[in-house]
Amino acid sequence: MISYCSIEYLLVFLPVVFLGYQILPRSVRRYFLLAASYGFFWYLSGPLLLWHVAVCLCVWLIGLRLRNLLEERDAAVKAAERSERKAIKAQCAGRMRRWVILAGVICFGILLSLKYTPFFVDNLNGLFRHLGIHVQMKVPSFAVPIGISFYTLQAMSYIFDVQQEKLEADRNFFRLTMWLSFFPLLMEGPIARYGTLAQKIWNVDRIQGENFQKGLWRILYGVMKKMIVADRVNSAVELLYTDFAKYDGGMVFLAAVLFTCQEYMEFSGTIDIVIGTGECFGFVLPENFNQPFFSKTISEFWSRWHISLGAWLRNYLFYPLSMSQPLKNLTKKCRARFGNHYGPLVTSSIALFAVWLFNGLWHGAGWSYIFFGMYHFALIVTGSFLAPPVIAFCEKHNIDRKNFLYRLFQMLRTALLVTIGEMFFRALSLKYGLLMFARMIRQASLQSFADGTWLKLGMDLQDYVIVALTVLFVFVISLLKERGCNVRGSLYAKPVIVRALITGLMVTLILLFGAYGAGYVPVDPIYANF
Amino acid sequence: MKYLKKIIPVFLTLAVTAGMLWLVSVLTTPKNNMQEAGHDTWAAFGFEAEPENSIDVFLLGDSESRTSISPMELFHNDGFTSYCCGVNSSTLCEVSEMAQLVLKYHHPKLMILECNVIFSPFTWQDAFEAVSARFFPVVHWHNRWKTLLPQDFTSLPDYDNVEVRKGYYHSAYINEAPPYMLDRYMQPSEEREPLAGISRWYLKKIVNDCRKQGVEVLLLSMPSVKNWTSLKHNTCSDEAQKLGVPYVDLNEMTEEVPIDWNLDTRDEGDHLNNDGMKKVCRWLGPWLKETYGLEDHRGDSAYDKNWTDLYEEYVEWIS
Repeated sequence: MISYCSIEYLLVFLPVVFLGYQILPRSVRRYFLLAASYGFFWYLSGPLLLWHVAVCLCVWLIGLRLRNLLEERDAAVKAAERSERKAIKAQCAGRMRRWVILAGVICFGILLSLKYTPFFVDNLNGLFRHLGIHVQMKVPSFAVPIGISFYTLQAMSYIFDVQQEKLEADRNFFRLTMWLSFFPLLMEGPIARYGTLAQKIWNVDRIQGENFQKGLWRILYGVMKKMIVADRVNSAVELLYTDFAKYDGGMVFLAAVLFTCQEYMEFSGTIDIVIGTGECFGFVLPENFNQPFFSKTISEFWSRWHISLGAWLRNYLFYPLSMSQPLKNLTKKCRARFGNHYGPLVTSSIALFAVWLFNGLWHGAGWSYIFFGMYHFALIVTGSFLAPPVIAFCEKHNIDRKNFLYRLFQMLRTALLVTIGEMFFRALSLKYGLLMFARMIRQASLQSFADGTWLKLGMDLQDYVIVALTVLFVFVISLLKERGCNVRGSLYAKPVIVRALITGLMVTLILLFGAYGAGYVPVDPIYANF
Repeated sequence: MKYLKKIIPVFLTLAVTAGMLWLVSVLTTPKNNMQEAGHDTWAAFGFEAEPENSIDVFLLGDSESRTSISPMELFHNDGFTSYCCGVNSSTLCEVSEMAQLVLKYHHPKLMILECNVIFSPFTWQDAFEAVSARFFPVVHWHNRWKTLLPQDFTSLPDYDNVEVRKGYYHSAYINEAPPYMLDRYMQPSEEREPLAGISRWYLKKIVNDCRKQGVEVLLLSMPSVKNWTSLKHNTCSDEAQKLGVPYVDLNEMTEEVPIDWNLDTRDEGDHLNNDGMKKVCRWLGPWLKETYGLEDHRGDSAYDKNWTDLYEEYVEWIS
């Protein structure tokens, strides 16, 4: 599959778009960018882009309808008596809700039909078999447009924001479509909100030298992560996840570690390319990662990993559910019964359950993804329930929770839990994930490291060394960022020759140590199918 | 001045990057066409060690080409010089690059393209890598950072290792073709094997590159039960006609080249063994010599060192 790391994108498509964008007059530039985005979509998904156009039309029209309703409401409220205003507002809210539901039915309907129907039908058939009902439906198979899960959430965020009056619905169809189809965001996000991006793209300001240089560095940094680490470990990951039964627990753990490493480098590397592309144009795209492996808890991890998805779920699922009247009432009762910590925890757990079920299913139509969501739900809820006794324990034994060693322990514990979760995520199915986990525990052994099995996975010692050095380099950059250092800003302040040397060095390191050409199979974009 | 201020950093960056890539290219390129020097396809590149313009016929392609013809055999029997530049699992974009390299060092009378390679799939990415490797060999040799030798830091590439087998891959194994393969081998058909647009483009490019240098081109299909079909034959025949080059399919010439698929193959009908190669050379040598008017160099002292004197060593290799 083509990726943002491919030659087609980096050396053909991107230069042509940059050049066209820079030389065309402003009035044409935005349509050129729109055409480039749809051209890219067509290249990836062919006629399936019509589904995307349908979603754009749907949210544009429903957005306009919501805007009209709000304008009508404001006019009516202005003209009405004070006593009638509440009723008018309530009536308008009800009508708006129906339009929002319609938008949800259309957008999520397309997503569910194309992506989840085979999963549901397959499970229904299984249920019928289990119940002895002799009805078996044909499991359909649909071609799914690239990035459907990303642009569906993005489209719905627009509708919700219009409903909640956080923004005014856009009358300009092309501006809305440009935001929903902007080519760097198509495959793996991040899920960008309309309010922060649409107008900026629509302004189509000229490319500035500083933005371009910094964007280019960010792109090269992403390519480095993907080609040196993610692609290099691919053969070992493939082998270990396919034939895990041939290896002992140590190798299964290695599989989990390598995949976690691969996924982070692939996903965050792609996001670096995406954000770097935006930066070259002068557009600030939302960050999707904030040094996730410095997290001390699973909750914190999810506020640093795939940030745009977490924010979407928090804003449009968790908060509305938590603030719903039934849950508010329940919170009140629980608070009275279980106290101020555990009371609200019970009700927030209900909202969290919905969030993590959605999160798991969003990642893919499969039980392993649902399990992945439930695994993190269980960890977060357990963490919240255990927080008071842990604090009490630490205080009782004079353990300083701000101490470096204690924080390091928390980070390693979180990383370990995440790694185990990723094992289920990558496993061929939930059954295989459970078997891998069982093997990792029951056959825990370091024998495979002693007898050299770990060097027979399509990676030799030099491969492990270069992967480790690159991970170390990324760790140092992350550490600098964590401490608030603006790495690229500092580098840009250096003389031109130093900047040229940095660019040249990055390109050289990628071409020298990248895993490409004969003998390597690059990893497909892991999140592109979501 | 403002314009210059914008342009200078761009050119400086490009120049510095190119310089660094050149440096690592020199470092990673094997310093000789020998396995010991880290060359993965040393045999195919042995023509660089031959005196300039001393080769009459070059054979390009994948493993089918380097297992079906032995240049030493042709020289011994028919007197003209040839070289097999075939590389295992090669693609047309790589063959095109090889053709460019050959034409840089030699001016042969004939360039033979073995047709199995025409159907090997490849992408624009592969093509880009192949072209980039011409300018920055690190693109091809990047994995050599793992096995750099002391000489890699102290010397420049100099391919002077004269290959005894002239690119031929010898094998005396006999591993007969299974009957089910023989049953479907060259079943008559009017259909055509699909050919990718990029492959067609490269095929035309190779022919044009050779023509520009006044080198004739021959499309040739070597016998292979596993790889060859009538569909492929039809496609190659069409392409040859379009390009105006001759096409010879040895799979159809069972009387002239009587391959016994129980004895003349080393790997179940995929490639020929030494006996199969000899049958091909026995017919192809005289035919090439006559058709293309190739000169007989036997007895010419200029060819003693690299050809006549090496024949005995060659016989030892293949026996």
